[in-house]
Amino acid sequence: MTEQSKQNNFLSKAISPAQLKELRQILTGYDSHDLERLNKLIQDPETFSEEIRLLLPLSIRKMVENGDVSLQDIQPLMEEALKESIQKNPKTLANILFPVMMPAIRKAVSEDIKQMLDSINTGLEHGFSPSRIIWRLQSVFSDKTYTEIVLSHAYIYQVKQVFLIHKSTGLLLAQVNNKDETDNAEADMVSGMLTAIKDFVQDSFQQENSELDSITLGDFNIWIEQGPHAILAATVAGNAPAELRILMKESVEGIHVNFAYELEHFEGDTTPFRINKSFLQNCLQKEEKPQKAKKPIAIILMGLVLLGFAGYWLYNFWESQTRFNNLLMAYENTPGVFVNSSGKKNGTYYFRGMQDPLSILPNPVQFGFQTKNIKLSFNKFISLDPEMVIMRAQRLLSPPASLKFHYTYDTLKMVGRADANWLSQAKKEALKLPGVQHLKIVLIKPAPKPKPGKAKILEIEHQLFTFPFGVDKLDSAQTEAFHKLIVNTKNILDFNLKQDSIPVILVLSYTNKLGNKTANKRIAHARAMRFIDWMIKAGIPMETLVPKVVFIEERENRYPVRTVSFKMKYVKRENL
Amino acid sequence: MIKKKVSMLGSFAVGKTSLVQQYVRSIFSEKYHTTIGVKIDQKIVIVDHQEVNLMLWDIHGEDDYQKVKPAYVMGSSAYFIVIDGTRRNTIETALELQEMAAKVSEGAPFIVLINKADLKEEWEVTETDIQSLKEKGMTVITTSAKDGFQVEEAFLKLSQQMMK
Repeated sequence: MTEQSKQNNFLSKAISPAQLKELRQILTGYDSHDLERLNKLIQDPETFSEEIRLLLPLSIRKMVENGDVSLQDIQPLMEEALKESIQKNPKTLANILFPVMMPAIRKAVSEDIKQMLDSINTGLEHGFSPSRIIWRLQSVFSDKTYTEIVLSHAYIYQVKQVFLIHKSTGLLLAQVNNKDETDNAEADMVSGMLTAIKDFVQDSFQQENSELDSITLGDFNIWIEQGPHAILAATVAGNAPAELRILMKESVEGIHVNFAYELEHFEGDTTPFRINKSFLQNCLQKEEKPQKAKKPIAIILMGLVLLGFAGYWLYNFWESQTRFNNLLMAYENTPGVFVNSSGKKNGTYYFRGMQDPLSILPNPVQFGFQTKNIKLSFNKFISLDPEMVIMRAQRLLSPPASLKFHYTYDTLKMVGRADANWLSQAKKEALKLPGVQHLKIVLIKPAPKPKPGKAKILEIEHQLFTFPFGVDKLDSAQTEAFHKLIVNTKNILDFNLKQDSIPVILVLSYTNKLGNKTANKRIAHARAMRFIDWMIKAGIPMETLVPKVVFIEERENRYPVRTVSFKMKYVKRENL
Repeated sequence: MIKKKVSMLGSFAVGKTSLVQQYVRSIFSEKYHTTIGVKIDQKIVIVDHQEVNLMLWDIHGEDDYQKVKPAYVMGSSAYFIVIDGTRRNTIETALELQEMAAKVSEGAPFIVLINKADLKEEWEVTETDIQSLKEKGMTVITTSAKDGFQVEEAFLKLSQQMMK
């Protein structure tokens, strides 16, 4: 028997099992049931791990809180574990991360594609434009690729308004707008409607892991970025870049971090959100196209209109002034009228002065004036203008038509022919005329009768014979004229043969240079020669007739082609 | 300023929109325009010397073909359940909607409005029905969107309950 068994045997005999149980409870504080449970817990790892599971997280948290272990201590272990897990079997971790990664990857790819499409669209818009050439040059002279430069110029947009909306209630927490936009009093209702639309869309088209992220209205977009408690909605005009989306995401995250308590416990008080709007202000991005200097069309138009009015006024002023000056000049140039003053007063033109009763005032209507706009004040007087004196003399003396009056200073001059009776009477009466102090009479002998030959020459030179195309005979009227021509020519020759000069008759035949000039000249010459033949046959001496061809382009004349006319010249005998 | 979302719930053509128009703009139109989706209006009330901006969500009426989406009611600080006094069957819809609203906006106060008090002679809803609603612990107010009878009072009362 061993020492232990001997002791047990001794205890079993000295103390009963009940007493032993009581003693154990006194010593350990556990009854047999508790001890059994602890024993079983230690014996059975399954049950023990189940018990520990509940304690471990709390224990770790306590350890971290007390500083027994720091996150930096755990981090390498976790990283090591993850590293080993990935090296061992990457598929396991990929499967774990799949639900998280896929939507993120999908979203990133779709946004990149959208950005690329936007860029291409804008790039195409600028195709073959001067700006595209400039971009090419920029890419040549800078480190950037052409694509980068195109992308940098692609986005021209403006965020007009940003709303921060409480997600579950749809209440507007805060809003900011572009400074050139007026404050939107309807922002609360817009916010509510946006939430209603979002709820409707998401409820109606239930798509897993997807949320309404934009509403498009023509060129106007509402970009929506949703967080767990708040929604950021930005109204965007133009083509915004994907960077704006990233900015909005960061803003939503920032808002949720900074206003976590206010958002979770929101009960309608928007004050905290309205005080700090920096996250919203940050989203008010814009990129402006370089503005071409706009032509101030309105100002130009207004200027043109004003210029038109000014021009019209100036024209009217100039025109009426010109008419006034013309009328004034007409009055001043009218014999027997003296204008003392003139001008315009209260819209009426006035002329003041003196007028001889014999003079006739020009009619203002002929100068474009209405009689109601003209006021004339002329006093009567006896004018010593030569015209008036002469008119008065003519009325008084009734001179014959062959006698003309002239008046200079104080002398009335009579020039012409008049009979002696009238002259003696006139000499007495004329000196009674106002302004006539002296009388001068110049009598002219009757003019000699013109030489008969001259008239004949003129008659000959005025005669012409025009032939229709292809005709080289005289018609009946021309024959008669030809006979008259011959008679006149013979008279001239008879008359002049007695003089020291010999008359020569140039027979002029007219043609033009159209077509064959030489042929035309030849035909015209033939026509002149034919005419000369007819004249010789009619008895005109051959030596007095000279043919000459005249091109009608060469000189001013009234003769058409295929015409024959005549020119008489007197040539000294020695020049023949 | 405090903002609160208040929803209008009820069967179709019970007068939800008319009640809102009467309350916000003091106007009433005999023409019936069915509400599609939600219309949002706002009115500022003063409750206990404090300005409260009520965002009124006038939600489309419920019928057999068009159920009210709980998402519309979610986040309501209070709501009205509107019954047409001339159509007794609107009570049933009202009770269903109240049940739904109580789930999505837990603890939000509400008032049952028996509308169209101006047509009292045509009413199908009886005093017993009203009593039955009251026995369920509901606050019931008779209103007329047409002449504005008790409309202002109903909104003020709900605002007061909401701000307690």
